[in-house]
Amino acid sequence: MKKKLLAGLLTIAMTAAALTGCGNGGSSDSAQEGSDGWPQKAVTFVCPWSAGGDTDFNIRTLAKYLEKELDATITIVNTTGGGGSVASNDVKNGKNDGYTFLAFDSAIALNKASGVTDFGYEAFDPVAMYAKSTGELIVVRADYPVDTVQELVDYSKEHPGEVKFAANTGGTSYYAATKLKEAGADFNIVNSGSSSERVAALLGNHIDVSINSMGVVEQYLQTGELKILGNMATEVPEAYSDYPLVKDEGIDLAYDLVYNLLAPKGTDSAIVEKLSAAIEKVVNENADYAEEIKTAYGQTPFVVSGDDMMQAFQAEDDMYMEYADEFQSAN
Amino acid sequence: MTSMILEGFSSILLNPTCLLWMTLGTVVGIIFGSIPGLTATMAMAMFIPVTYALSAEEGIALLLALYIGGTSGGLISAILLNIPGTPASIATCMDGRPMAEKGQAGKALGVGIVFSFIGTIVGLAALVLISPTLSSIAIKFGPHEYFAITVFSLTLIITLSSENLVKGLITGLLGLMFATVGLAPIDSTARYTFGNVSLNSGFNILIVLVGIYAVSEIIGTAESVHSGNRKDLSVVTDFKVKGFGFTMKEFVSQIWGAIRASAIGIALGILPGIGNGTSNMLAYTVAKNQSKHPEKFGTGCIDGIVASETANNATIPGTIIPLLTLGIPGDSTAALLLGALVMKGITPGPLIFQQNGKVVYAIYAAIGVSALLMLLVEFFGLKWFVKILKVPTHILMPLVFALCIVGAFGTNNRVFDCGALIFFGFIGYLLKKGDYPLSPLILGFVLGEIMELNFRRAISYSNGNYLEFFTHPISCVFLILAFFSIVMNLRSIYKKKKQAA
Repeated sequence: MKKKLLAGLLTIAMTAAALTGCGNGGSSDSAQEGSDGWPQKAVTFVCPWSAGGDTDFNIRTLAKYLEKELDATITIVNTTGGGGSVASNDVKNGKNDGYTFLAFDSAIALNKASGVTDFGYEAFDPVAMYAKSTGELIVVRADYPVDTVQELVDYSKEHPGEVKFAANTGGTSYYAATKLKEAGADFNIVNSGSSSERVAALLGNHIDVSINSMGVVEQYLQTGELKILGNMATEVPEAYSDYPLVKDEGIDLAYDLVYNLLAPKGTDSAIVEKLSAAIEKVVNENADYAEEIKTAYGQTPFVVSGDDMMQAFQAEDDMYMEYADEFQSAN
Repeated sequence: MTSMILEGFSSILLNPTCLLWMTLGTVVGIIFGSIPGLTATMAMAMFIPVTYALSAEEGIALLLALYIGGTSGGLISAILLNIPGTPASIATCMDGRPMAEKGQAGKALGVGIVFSFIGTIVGLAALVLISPTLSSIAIKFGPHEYFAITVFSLTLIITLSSENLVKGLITGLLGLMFATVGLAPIDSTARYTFGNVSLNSGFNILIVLVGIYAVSEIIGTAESVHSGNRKDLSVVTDFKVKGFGFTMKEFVSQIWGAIRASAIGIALGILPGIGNGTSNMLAYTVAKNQSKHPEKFGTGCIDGIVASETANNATIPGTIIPLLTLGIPGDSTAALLLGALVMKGITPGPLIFQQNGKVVYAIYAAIGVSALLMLLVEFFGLKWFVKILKVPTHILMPLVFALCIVGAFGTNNRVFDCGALIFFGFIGYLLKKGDYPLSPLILGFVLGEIMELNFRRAISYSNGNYLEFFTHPISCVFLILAFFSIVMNLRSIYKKKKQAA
């Protein structure tokens, strides 16, 4: 009896160990030169946000189709905390044997600009920018006395410091707030947490303006509780073409939230290229993938790699670094 | 409407595959919940890839079975090993362990299992009947209100440390201090990280909990082996348990307590972030304060187990309310449920009943079925669970230690957490040596970050005006309650001292 119980407990322990990822540790077999033999074992994508968010969704969906493309197992590991910096540091300082990658997003540039990390994309060998969100929207309660972003800016000038604008330090929302301030707005910038918490705070009259993606606010548009003043994306997304771009109102505010995959510096370039080509193939050619990202987030396939990608990374970096002082003075 | 209800219910009840998955989920959940270091959250994260292959209803049902089984499973190690498997069962230890030491382990488990079931069902009733009302209340809670409610909850430390108030306050403060390590809320300034990036995310609650309860217990046992005064529980335990081990009369006497604990569990469940870790301790202290025989709490009376286990399970359907109606996950476990829903193209929100009514009713059915499965599996497992006490400590403790390390690694896939676990093990060991109560540390740690975050938010919302804590009605009420809680508790301590003198 004792032995049985003991054996049972041991089995559980081992299963748990294997399932929680200990099993991926064995990397004694040195990475083969070139990409012919790659991948020989499970590839790990480290996601800095918890399971269930948009970044996690995007990388999991991509990985699902990449597995078939590469004939390999891809494990998504969620290492959260520090606004993403725990994971980005881990991968940056980890093994560059071609089996660990960082599945991040535009926050890589924002982390650097706000001083959470002292490095950006340049500390990695980027693989691809593989997806793009449908844009972040400026949202207010339906009964709020403004209808456009310009009216919001004017309203805040007439009521200095009274308009509570939810923005997270080191987030794109803070960039939006800074840009609108440049356009003359006088907000009380407050922190209200995650995107769904911001919507609740908006509904509960605790704040006045929130930045959200379409997914979390769509139903409140239908119930008539919230309204959208404008979309801050660089171009009108197919799925939500009804909402004007903020930049078209003559306000200098346009950015995209882009999801990217980064390899630790020094990863074999043949492996990076092979992975990048496989990603391009899935995003551009796989109809099931396109359908899935459309159903969940209204996204359309988007991928940039090679030299264009390096330029896009640098442009993103420059855009946020220009405001590094504003971001860091908020600390 | 009716057809949606029927479709939703039948997608669970008339679907053998789904029931099979749920049975598996319940068993795995209970195992994970009962093993210190492994949690319901981990079990769910493991099964997330499985849900891709299932329909939305089946996937959510499987996750709910894991969640409910896992939360209830925590009572097994709490009672038998004095190690809470999750923060949700901390208060279960307080009377569960003394009962086990009196040879009533089977009875303690039986009580815990039955009232876990009752808590889930009462919570489910609230979810089905009044979730729109409850979610409109939840929206009214802004940062001022959250701050006030955490201040009120912190006054529980007094009750949790009635033996020695000063020692309780010390461990409570330690908890608050450990909560400040890492990137600060709002502005992400690094605090007490000493340049170590691994400390940026602070300490995970699970690491702190398992460290100070489980690892310290292991160190303590190792020591007791050498000093020769080890306790052998197996001699006195009631291995032959009949039914659930308690009488009908005892059951009836607990009904009012169970209703009160359910209400507390649901109320904290709808407030995202405060939830499970707090509700069991709040229910326990309320039960103790209102009891006719408060001196029996902590010596092994079933009232304490009833309060803790009813409340923590009632919190689960409570947590589902803001999740479904507002899309706000109360904890990492609820976040996984949210993720699974979004993955299937189901967005929580005010229209979820119209747009995805079938899934909502499937969720109701799945919670009910999971509760029943949990009751059945644990009922038949009862006589096996108590046999854990027969395993010699020199075999059991190393196993528990190995599982703790595995669990620590599994929480965030970092070796750093394994080191932190051992660090907290030594802290817990030293505190136990000095007879310091451990639960205030956990309470301080759980509430510390929520309190600080909401205090800072509140101040920025009101442009630096502290008076707004009193002009917001809900916030004002909780601050007054906190004040009275302190005064009343101090008065009763003073009285006791006078009597003793």
